[in-house]
Amino acid sequence: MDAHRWLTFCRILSVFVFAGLVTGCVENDYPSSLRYPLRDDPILVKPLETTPTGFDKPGELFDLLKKVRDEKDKNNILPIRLVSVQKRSVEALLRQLFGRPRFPQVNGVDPAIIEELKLDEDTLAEGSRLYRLHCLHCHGLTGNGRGPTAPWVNPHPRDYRPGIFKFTSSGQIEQQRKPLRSDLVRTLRQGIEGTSMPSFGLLPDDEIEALVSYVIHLSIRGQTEMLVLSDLMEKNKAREQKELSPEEQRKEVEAELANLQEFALQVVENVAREWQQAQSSLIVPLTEAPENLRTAGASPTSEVAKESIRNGFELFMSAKAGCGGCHQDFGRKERFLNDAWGTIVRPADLVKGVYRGGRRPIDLYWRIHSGVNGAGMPAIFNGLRPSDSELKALAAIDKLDGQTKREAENLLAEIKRLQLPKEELDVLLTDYDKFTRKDELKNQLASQRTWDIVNFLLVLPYPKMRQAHGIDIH
Amino acid sequence: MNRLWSILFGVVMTLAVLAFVIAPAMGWWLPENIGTFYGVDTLFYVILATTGFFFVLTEAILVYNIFAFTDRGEKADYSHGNHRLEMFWTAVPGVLLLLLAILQIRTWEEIKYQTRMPTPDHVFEVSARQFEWRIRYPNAIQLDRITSAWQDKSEPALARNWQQFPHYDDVHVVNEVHTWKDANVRIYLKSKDVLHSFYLPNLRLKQDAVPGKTIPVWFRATRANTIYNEQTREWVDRYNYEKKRFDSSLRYDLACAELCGWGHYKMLGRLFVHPDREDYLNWLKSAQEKQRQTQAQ
Repeated sequence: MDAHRWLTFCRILSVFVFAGLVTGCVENDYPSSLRYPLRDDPILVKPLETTPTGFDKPGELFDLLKKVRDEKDKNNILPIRLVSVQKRSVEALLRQLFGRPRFPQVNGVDPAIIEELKLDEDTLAEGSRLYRLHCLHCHGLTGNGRGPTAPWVNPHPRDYRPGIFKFTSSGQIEQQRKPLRSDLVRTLRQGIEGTSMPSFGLLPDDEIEALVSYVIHLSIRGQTEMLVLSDLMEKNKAREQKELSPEEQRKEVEAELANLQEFALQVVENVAREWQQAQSSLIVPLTEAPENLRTAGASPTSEVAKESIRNGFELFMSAKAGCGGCHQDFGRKERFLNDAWGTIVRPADLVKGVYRGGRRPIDLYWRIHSGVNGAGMPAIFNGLRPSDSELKALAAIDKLDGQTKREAENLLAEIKRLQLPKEELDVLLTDYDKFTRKDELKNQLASQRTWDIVNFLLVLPYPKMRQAHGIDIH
Repeated sequence: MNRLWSILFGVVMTLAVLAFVIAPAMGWWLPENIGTFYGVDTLFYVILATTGFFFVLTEAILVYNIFAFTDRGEKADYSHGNHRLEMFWTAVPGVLLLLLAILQIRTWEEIKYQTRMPTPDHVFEVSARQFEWRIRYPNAIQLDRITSAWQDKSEPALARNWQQFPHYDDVHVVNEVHTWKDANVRIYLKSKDVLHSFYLPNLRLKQDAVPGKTIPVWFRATRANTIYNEQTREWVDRYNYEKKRFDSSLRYDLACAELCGWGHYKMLGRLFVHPDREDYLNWLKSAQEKQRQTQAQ
């Protein structure tokens, strides 16, 4: 009888002890044997062509991405079709270059770049630990944006692997554009209003820096993986057309794999260099912001501000900037597009006053200047440069009439706001061919026009402001 | 062996009581009350004392009974219970509950009744969303306008308008609640998605944020903890003005107290109490300038 009770007592006690052990003994890091899995989802080469009619519903992310697979060989690549010897070699190669989640590294890159981008092993290990804690459940182990919570939030978490980041301030060409570290820091600190990305502003500076380093590591790794896999798929396709015997095929595959490392090293080097170049290519506006944005407390309804905002409004509506083509009815009209990640985006509703890339004038300047990467918002800056003929026409402004005259007068007013030295202005207005700083002038005008649009966008959400500036949006 | 369970129950009960006894010394107790809602503390102690007394009493009876009437190898008696006894132990808690309900009326009124809230010196909007606090402050001029229009206790149309429609020159900040010492603060609490709860433990203030509703919340903080750091040119909290040094116990957290989703634990903010209005306005100006940044950096 006593023995039986002892047994019951011990059994119940052991349940509690077990529960304690299970909950209390979790290691605060990745297991050291864990590897990054090789990518097996389709690689999107260019955005899908079918126009979506609405956002996907919660939980439907994977149905949406299935479309990428169903696109056949048109604009996707299916790495799942590689033969297993290829997959094994790529995985081993990537492990050699980038380590494992517990011990992340970036190898095969100039040490100066490693130092500049803070990709040393200690920082990455700390970043990896923090990433697991704060980011993994959305952005996924490899940074693929497919963590367990990813299907349930919209916009879906960013997939770092294509190496495209929406909100950047670097002036590189679009295909190579990478964010500055400060862009990523800002996104972490401020969060992205209007999405599920919260602010991590209360983390200490060194933790934020480590997280940024790790995101860069994941992105370089993902992009290298993507490019290497795409290259192998191309080769497979070429080989299939040659109609070789199995033996010959095997030999050719082996020969290709022997060259793989060299190719991959080249890719890593290039991708890392793009990241490095981004750090020193910050877009600095060529002209100062309008006075009402520049000075705290300056009235947004002064004459100078009015002129700038009015001009911004006109530019917004014009074909030159072409904003209204996507942001129909100032973005209030719903319109859906495919983005570079295979998910669905809609042009922002600019009347809401919610700015994902940040609400500072400089943030909006960067968005307009170089667009929103991957989302289909193009760079507007070059389109805002006036043409030679427009500038030339200023000399004979009195002879113009109608619409062209109005445009010329507008341009003249804009040039006056630049406050050029008098002699230069005279040359410009009388004999444009002799004007020496043509290109510089055009860029300055484009910069000023960008600021005008920013100025307009910042008053757009507020009815009273719209009224004061005579902007009717109904 | 027969008395093992009674001993176990007794030990657990003693440990539980002990935990409460040593809690204040271990720093497990309530954070410092820097607000004016002392009624919350009083009620807490009254309820703790009452429930503590009955906890010890009932546990003692339970442990004694298990110990005394353990299996003696005889057939057990069966009892239908005692009506009088049952009436007694239902009526006593009933009366106590009623007393507590009466006792808390004044505290509830002080904290929650909009008509009893003092005329505010400081007004701003807090929007909870998954998973952060987005806070919108009126700029200095707008704040002046709103508070001077608030002559008596009723809310002026100006304030209602500001609360309903964001203004051009509002200052937007994430996760940082700023106010100054001894200011009567009025918050318009909103939620952009699901239920959240605005919880300032140091002020003994907790209020649910309900989607679609704007709920007024008020408090007054009576101890400053924020100072301007000349080197970093930022305002930092945890400063002890009496001892003139930093003190980690002066960190005033803002937490979400309503399970709102997977990132509930991430909804941590800070309360910054500036020493005076002027210092607050300086901070507000700097925040406004940051928001107005036009230089690439």
